[in-house]
Amino acid sequence: MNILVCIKQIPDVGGKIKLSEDGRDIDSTNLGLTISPHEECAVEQAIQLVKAEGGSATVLTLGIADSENQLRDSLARGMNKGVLLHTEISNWNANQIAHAITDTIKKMETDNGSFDLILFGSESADRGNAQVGILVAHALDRPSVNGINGLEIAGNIALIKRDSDEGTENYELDLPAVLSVKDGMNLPRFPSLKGTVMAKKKPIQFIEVQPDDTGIGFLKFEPTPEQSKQAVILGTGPEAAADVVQVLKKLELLR
Amino acid sequence: MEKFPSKAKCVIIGAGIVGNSIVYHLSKLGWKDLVMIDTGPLPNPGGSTGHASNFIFPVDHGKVMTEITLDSLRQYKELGVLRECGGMELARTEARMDELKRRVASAKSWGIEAEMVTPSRAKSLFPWLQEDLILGACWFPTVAVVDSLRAGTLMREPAQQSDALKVFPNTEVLDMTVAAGRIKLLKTSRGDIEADYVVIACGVWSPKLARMAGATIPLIPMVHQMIDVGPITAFEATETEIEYPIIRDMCALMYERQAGRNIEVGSYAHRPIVHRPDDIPSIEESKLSPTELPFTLADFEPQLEDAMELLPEMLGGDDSEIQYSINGLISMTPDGMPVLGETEEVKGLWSASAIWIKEGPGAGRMLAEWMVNGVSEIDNHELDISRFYPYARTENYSIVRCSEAFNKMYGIVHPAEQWESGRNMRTTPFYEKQKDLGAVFFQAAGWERPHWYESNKPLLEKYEGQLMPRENEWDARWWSPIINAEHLALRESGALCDLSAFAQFEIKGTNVVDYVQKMALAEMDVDIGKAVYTTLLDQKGGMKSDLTVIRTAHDTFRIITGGADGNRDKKWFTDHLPSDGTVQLADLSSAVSTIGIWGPNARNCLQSICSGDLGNDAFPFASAQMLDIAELPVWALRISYVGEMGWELHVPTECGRYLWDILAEAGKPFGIIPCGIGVYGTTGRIEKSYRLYGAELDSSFSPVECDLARRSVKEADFIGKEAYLFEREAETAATLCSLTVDDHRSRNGQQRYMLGGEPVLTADGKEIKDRKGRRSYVTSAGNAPSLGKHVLMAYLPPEYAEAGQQLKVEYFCEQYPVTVGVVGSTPLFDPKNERMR
Repeated sequence: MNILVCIKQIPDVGGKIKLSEDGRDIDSTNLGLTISPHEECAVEQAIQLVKAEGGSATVLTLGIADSENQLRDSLARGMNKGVLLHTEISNWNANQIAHAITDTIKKMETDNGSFDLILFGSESADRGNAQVGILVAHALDRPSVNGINGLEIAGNIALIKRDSDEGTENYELDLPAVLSVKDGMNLPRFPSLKGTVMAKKKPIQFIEVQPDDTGIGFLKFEPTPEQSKQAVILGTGPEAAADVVQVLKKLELLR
Repeated sequence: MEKFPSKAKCVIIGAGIVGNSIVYHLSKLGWKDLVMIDTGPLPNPGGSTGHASNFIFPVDHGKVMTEITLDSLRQYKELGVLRECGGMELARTEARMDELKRRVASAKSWGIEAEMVTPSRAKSLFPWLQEDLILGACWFPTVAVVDSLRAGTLMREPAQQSDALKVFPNTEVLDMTVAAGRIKLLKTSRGDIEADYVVIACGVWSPKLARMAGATIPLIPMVHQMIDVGPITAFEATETEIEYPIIRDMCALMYERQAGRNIEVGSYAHRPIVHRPDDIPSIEESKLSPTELPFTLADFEPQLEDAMELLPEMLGGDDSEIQYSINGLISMTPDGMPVLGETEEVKGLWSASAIWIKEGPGAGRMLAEWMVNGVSEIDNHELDISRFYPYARTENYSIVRCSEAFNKMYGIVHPAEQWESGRNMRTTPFYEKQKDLGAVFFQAAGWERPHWYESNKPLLEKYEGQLMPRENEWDARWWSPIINAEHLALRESGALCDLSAFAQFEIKGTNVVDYVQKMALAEMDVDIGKAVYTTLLDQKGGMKSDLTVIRTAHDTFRIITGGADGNRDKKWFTDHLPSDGTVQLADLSSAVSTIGIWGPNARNCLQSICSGDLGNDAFPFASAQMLDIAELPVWALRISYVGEMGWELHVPTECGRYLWDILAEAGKPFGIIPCGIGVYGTTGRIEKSYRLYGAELDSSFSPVECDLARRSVKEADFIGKEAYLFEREAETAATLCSLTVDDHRSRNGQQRYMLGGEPVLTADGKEIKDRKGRRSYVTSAGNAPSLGKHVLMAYLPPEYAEAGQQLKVEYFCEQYPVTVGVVGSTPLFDPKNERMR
């Protein structure tokens, strides 16, 4: 089974997000870089499937040269090879990203045969557009389900679960398919020491890419006005109990 | 929460292990009205305490750091937050095996259990070690792990309960106000607070806080990488935090330490990564905490392989996952020591910075005692913030020095090792001339000083057979036989020595006599022109400094002290100046250049270019006069630290070069050569048993013990007098002695030369302790070429302080016979000081 997982480098933010001066990026000077939790689950799923079914798991990203670190991290966890669609231009829109990825997949598939599964995170943790997976599926004319919570492979069919407010939706898709994965589908492993050392030797293919002029443009981020969250301290120790009771009553949690 | 007060006696900024320890000890010593604030929440405000690996190896080559660590261990134990697990330092190379042997010697000197063990014994202590990778290990059974956050809480709470302390977490200091040179007020996010004292115990943020008041704390935050690996199957049965010894893989510059079911792997092997205090993210912006920065894997990758190589079973499996990894921020300083004491710039503003977990409680006690009593039980001069001269206080200086120091953290550092960074910042007018002569420069107080001159190489032939050559590379490192040749030339004819690194102060004013009397042990109300060598005592009678004081006018004294001690001494003098301005201090250190000329031909040589009378009657020993030397006006001081007749010649810096040229030329017919500090600081002085501050002298010894007490006690009052009087009457616990090594031959047939710090043992190899609990160790070691002996100085208790007493000294785990040469300050060479007359 050949699987492709697409990931994206994002800043690992704390409680408060600092923007760059022009507002077009998150200031990541003191931040680590990571991938979205959804994508971590997609990587984990691919590793587990390849372990069970055999084959190869490729991890792909589009980003600046430093994104290689995120590829290496996935390789350390157990992915087999990486592809970096390299660009030093930031803020690609979803269409541009999808086009570049689609073109690459087509070329890769011409050379090496079709991917049985292409996995995305359901949406990136920084932009949250939830677009790229669907756009790629559409461009490749493959069946797709977004935001899945469960995946099993039975022969040539993907058995998919997706939780919704009304209950669980079940899908059966013929492979090859494109799926986007929701956080919580599995418990992603950490990279092992051994895997981390071995990841250095795993192959990464570098491909230069340029954004085309499709899709919507991006101007800048604007922080939402800060909400004043004034904590009121009622006291400490047993003396505060009476006040706490009053507050709970006011909130109608106590009568 | 309580109302934020508008006034306090003392505000302690920082609620890490250091701040908590300080409030505990301040309140124990009786201070009340203390306020502690921290930007972060409690119990973990987000500083380095919160992410520390919390293990403590007690051994250090330095005495004071070991004492503070031992004090900290004792306090952690009392608090019930310490678990002894033992620890091992591993050697992968022969050089490291030697270094571990040196560690054993230091451990013995400072009273710590340590033993060299074989690889198989190491493996029995930590069964997952790759035994064939190591040549041996040093086992320290008292290595421990502590809960530093819990310790902080346990130290803070009693102070709160006794109403001595109010604590305000989530309170940021915004600014500080200074009035008339004294800290006055803090602006905080909870409001303004006035304080008599402010302590900055903010770890990596300390320099930023100090800057708010216009003060400097020389410290730079640096990254120390650590990963947490697990789950470790081998630790499954473990029920406590740590059951196995901590491993220090010294050659890989790494450590491995059990943490419950996981193992922490830390490194000092990666490139130095500096993080300026201003760039530390806020608590809100941080993913983990402000001092747990994102891990940069590329820096750690080579260490992963080292770690897996050492513990292949434990770390090499597919399930050994890196579950947590940080670039943790730690505080580093230009000389690797903590920064304690009142800042030089602002009265009442104290620094308690660059203190690690292993020193926290001990340093807290030291600072509290210092603040309350003016002195601390453990000697503090090496930690004193005022040791830093202005040149060493810039951020960039800290950056270059700490970057150089980082990989030496687990390194093998020779006691005389010189820095490569921060050099040539202070050069004398003689510098270019000295360079031309092939001077090998060592640094002292920032000054470049010739340690020896390659131009004197021809003397090696002349003195062949008397040079005590060193066969062992370690003994010979940072040393040259040229030093001994220069020494012999000094004794035979004479030598010139650059002494410009001296610190010199002029003290002047209507009340100057009273002031100088108060400061010094010796009688200071002397004739104009008289020079007096004296010790300064602290309030408990310990030695604060030793220096020369010269009365230059009815209302003026000149103080000359060692470069290493100059800035500290300056603060001590300045702090005690009368507040009414009747005495003033001017720092002349940079204004004066100094050359010493000594030796049997010194007088004749100087006389050949000087019209004044240099005879004993006209210019007696221990006096100073103005002389015309050639065209130059020179302030000459007849004194000696090398045991020969001669003078220190002091001129304005701009005349220094001219003086050098005159003396060098005049010296030639008299066989007078330039000599380096190797002679002045070691061979010359040790033959004369002259004491050196920081080696023989510090506040843990008294003038009686080092035999610098005077025959009579002056009438005038002086600091430490009461303790001094008591000490004179009491039974002496130990006396400083000069010993000579009887046999230098090691087991492999090499002649070995001790360098200082080694334990002095009884003839049957047992440790020696005096009745105050102090162990005997070598305070200074050096060749005495005129005696053909290697001399060691050491304090010995009365039962061993006897000339002719046979003892042993341990060097690289071998014991060498030594004999006590003299007890007290009588010199081994020229005991009647006839050569100085």
